[in-house]
Amino acid sequence: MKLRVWRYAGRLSLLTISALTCPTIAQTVNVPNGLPQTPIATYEELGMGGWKPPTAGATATVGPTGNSNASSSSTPTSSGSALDVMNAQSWGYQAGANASALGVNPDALAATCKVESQCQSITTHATGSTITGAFQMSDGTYQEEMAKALQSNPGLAASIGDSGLSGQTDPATQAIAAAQYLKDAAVQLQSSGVDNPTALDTRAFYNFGGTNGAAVAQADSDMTMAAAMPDVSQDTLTKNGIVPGETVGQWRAAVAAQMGTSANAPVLTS
Amino acid sequence: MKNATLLALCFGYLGAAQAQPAPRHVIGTVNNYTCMMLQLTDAQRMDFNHPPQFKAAPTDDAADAGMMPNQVAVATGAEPQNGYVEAMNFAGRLVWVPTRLLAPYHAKADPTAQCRVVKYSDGKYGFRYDH
Repeated sequence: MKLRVWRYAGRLSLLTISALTCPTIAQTVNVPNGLPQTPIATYEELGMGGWKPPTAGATATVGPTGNSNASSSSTPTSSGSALDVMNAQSWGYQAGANASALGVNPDALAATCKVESQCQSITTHATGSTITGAFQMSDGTYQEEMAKALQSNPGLAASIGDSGLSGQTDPATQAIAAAQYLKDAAVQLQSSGVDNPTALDTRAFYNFGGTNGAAVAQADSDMTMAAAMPDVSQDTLTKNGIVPGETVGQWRAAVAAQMGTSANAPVLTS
Repeated sequence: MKNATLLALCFGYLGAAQAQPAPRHVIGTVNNYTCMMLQLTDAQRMDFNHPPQFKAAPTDDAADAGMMPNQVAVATGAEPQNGYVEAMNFAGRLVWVPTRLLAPYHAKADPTAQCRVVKYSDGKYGFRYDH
């Protein structure tokens, strides 16, 4: 027994020595699917339409440099996978399957819903806006993208109950239009020379336009966002949470903090 | 034996580190191309269904050759043909841009920035914005 203990101790010391003798090589520990979620109570509040608190990740609001001014948003940060957040919803797996049917990576789709709504089916029609749902799509965009999606894969029609506008209220159905929307951006970015567009790349595409999205996707991290998008005024940048002097790398980190590990997921699977 | 194990562990770490692709870096400025920017209206910029496209030849009916990025590498001193000027995409391929969409580079929110065309270690082209 004693001998076995010493043998283990010897192995431990060997590992310690090897770590000490290889000090310049960083070791990264990856936890598949992020850290386990802690149980969070679910409750309903009158007038909130069944709103539930986010069940993953939200811990801090700190920019990539540790300075809160550098952050693009006050949305809680997360280092976990957005796919876990989406799949925690009753409609999550169906949404992912619908995205896959269009050749879109469910992880990238999940990154979008996480940023837009924490993957909660938010209804905003009451405020006069048509933007609604887990993917926060306007009625016009939803209808346009749904038509494209069904044209590209008619088989999807069988899997949705309602191909009309009221499908906006069903997150799994809305996911079809949202996935097509992501695919459109990724295909355009690819045609521009961006090899493997990610969920993060499509964010700049839709926030600042296709040409700016391509410029940002190709820009080095140490360049300023203002220089990479020369036709965008500081006023517009500020409205999008970009402070003067903010670099492309800082912006990417801020968006990735919202999307979690899914930020760098390639959009296209085929 | 212990030394051999120690070496194996070290090389294991080194192997893992070497598996990561090296980040690309700038290998030089491309002097025969000039960085210019697109001048688009807000509606044109945010038209996701019809973003401006490079052309494969200097004619309106030529095939599209990919979405233009906001900055374009234009052949320095090239004479326009049919309202198009020779340019290069990120992959280094010859493409054509309508001159009516081009303007000198000037960043509204970063007015001291200057743009130059560069080549990267992965063989692709891009832009650096110096101050």
